Amino acid sequence: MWFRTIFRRRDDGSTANGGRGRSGLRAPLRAASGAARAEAPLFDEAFLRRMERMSLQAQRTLRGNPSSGEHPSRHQLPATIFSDHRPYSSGDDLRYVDWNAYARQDHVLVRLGEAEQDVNVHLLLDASRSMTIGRPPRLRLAQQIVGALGYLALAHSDRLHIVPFGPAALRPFGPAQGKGRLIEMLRFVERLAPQGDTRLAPVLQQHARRHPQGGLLVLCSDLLAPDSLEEGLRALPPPRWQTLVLHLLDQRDLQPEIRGPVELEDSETGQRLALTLDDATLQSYRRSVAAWREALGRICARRGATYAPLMSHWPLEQQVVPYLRARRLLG
Amino acid sequence: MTLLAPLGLLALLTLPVILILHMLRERRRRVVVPSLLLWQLMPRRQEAQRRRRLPLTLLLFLHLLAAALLALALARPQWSFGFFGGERHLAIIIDTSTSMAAPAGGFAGSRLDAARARARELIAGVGPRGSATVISASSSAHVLDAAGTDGADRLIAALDGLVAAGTGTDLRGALTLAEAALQGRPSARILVLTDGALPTAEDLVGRPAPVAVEWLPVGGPADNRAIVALAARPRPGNAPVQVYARAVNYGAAPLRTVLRLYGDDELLDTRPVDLQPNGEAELTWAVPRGISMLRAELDGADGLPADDSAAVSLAQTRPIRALLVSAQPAALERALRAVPGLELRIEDPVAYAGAAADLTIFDGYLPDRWPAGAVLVVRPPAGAGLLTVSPQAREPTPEAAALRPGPSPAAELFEGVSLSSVQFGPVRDVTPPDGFVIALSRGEQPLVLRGRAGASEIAIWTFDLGQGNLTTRLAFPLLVARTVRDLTPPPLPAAALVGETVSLEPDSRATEVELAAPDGRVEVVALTPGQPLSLAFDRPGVYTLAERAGNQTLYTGQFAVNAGAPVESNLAPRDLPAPPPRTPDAQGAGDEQRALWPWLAAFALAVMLLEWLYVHGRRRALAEG
Repeated sequence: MWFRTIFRRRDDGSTANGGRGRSGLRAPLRAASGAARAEAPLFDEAFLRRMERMSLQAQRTLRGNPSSGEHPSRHQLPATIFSDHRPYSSGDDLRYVDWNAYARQDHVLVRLGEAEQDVNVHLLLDASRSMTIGRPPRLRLAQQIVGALGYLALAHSDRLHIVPFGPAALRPFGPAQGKGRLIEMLRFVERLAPQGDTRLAPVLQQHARRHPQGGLLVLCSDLLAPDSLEEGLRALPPPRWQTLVLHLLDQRDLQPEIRGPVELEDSETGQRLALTLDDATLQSYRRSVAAWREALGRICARRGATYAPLMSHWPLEQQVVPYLRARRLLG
Repeated sequence: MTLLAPLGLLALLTLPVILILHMLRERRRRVVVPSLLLWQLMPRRQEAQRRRRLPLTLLLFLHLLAAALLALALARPQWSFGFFGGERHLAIIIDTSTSMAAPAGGFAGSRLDAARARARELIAGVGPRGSATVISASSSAHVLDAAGTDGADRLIAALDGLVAAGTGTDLRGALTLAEAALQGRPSARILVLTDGALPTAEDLVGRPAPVAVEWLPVGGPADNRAIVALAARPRPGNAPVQVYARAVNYGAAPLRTVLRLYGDDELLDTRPVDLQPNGEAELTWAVPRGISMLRAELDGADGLPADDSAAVSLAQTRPIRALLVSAQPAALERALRAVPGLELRIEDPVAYAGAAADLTIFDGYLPDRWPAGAVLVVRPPAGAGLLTVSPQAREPTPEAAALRPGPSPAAELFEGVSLSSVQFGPVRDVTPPDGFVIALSRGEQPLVLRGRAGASEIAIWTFDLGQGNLTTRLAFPLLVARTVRDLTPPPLPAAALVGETVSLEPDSRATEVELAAPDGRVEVVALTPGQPLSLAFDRPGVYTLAERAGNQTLYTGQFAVNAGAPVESNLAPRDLPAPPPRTPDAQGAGDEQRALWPWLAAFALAVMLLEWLYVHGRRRALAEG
């Protein structure tokens, strides 16, 4: 395969791309965050081969460009494989005139077929410092997901936008189309650096203003932002936007492993909070987290977005991908 | 366990300080969380209540443990390993002074009985490898016995023989005896059982002790009254004898009582006496001569009946039967008759047949052998067998030559006697016999010799009274009287205190002394020639002393022993002196006291190291988390 050289391991003795190629192509396979930088690569070769058989499931209502792409469009165009007819009008291509129908019905009809289009795929990646907390860090799973979804978008000729954000949107990747941008995309994802705090609503509103055409938007975040998610989703109304909120959770967010007198420190703001954690307090905390997740699900449902919580320790291929297929993001 | 620096325990005050600090500022483990959004939703009401509770954490425990260990180390504790069955050596000093005969508060018996019972317990508590030394301390200190566990019965028997009789407590001597007995013994202690009537307590201040001393007080408060002084002064001639008595009330309540004075067991006078609290009364009498023993008595029924009576002897002077053997006795006769109590008989040397006398004076004559008793030889003749005398008298030594007294005590004869203008005339040289000393000489010429030969106390005047001018001088009768007193035994004491050691010098002829105690016990003491007799009397009353030479009674006299003395009759509780400080070199060498502070300090350091590891490990876990 053409990307075989990309996934060559460090101890591989091949020199097909020379020294430049070795350092330039292998780097995107490494983890993006500081802690995970020395860990295993984001993907392996077999995983990407298996991912290529999948595709993003974009809604038909999305506005796309019918000149390329593989997603079904809500529009019908004259086609050889037809599914409907319409009366001929001046200017239609005579090659799509159904002459047999004209012979039987004495009407000139033009064969119409299903139109396909590409879509704008927006991958918004939360790169705040809170994403680096956890075992493994949430940012690593987010990088894997964004990399995998970006690969699918490029492989299926969609227009890909990757927007990392923290307190504000960072320099985006894209729009990009075609596999030729794959290396650049992976390198971009790999080089993401943790930012400060998270401002979710302004980032989503700003992104919606910049891309009025809409598209498929995947938000990878821990949603630990002081401002409301609902304000951001209000700027992404369906059917122009097909929004999927991937909520990255760490196991310790749900079941804290700390007890006794502690001083909690916010990883983003540095703010501290003194607490004495006992059974009653932790039970109350778990109830608060459950209520918070339910509230996020209700907000997403109310704003036409799909809410999909993900655990950071889930393996990408074994649990995350099947989960996304179950949530009809992947097909 | 003993603490060498108890003030170090003040460091324990850091414990509540540590507790307060932990309560005020509970040290919390810092945990970095993705966001505080969810935690800020927690209810805060219970948190405020928890902050007031004491946080029972490992860190608090380690802090308290380290502070407690350091405080104990500052107090410099010492642990005696003798408590675990090791060697334990005791010296038990029991005060046996007169005041110990008083009732002991809270104990059915006297103070001495209480001390005896406590001593029995201490002896029984000595370990199998230990030992006990029992020392009695009254006027003087004595080691009664020393034994280990196997000799406990012997020690207890020695305790049973103790009698409370003695004025004063020789505690210094007793401590010296105890320290000598415990020298080099591990786990040694000196225990002093006393009622606190210690006249020498001041002497103990600052006295370093190589062995630990512990006071064990016995007795309690008790009222007492006593006759602390009874004295008589004969007056010259037939004038009555002046008698003086002092009675003291050592109680807290005023007292009206009666004092009776007896002369030879006949009532002479009865006086009412009013005694204020801690007050005294002085009384005087004039009693006729001829009474040999006076006794004063107060009404009894108090804490110490023994000091309610006192006696004094008036017949102290020994009669002296003197025999003057001289051809020209005039000068000596005049001088001898002036000596009080001396009965003189004069014989010519030709007629001398060795008649017995208390004092025999030979003037220009010497018999074949020394007569028993006191002998004064004046101008010994040449050719006699008893002395080597030159046949010719030497020319008088120039008067410029100074008189030289001999060694003490013979020279005491001439103290205060002016002999500088005396001319002794021609003097024969007399070779001093063995055992004789030259009491007085002028230049190289001996004038007076003093010595003892067999049962004879002998003084030799080498000069001739008829050749010099001594007999015309005032010093002559004085010298004669002193020589008589020096040669004859001294009178018995008028009275002595219980436990006081009395030195008696019996007649030189006596071979034994028979002593009859007030309770009827008779004790016969054999005499060593030339040695005084030292006796201590443990019971108050009148003692009768008889000096015998074979079957012949040479002298019989009486003297009184009294128990009343301010230091013993005052039964009020006294503050015991502080135990004497221990010498630094004896802190660890003399016993098995082991210093614990290095171990405590090391343990505290280990605890602090553990605390550091705990804190460091927690911070590392926090940083990794």
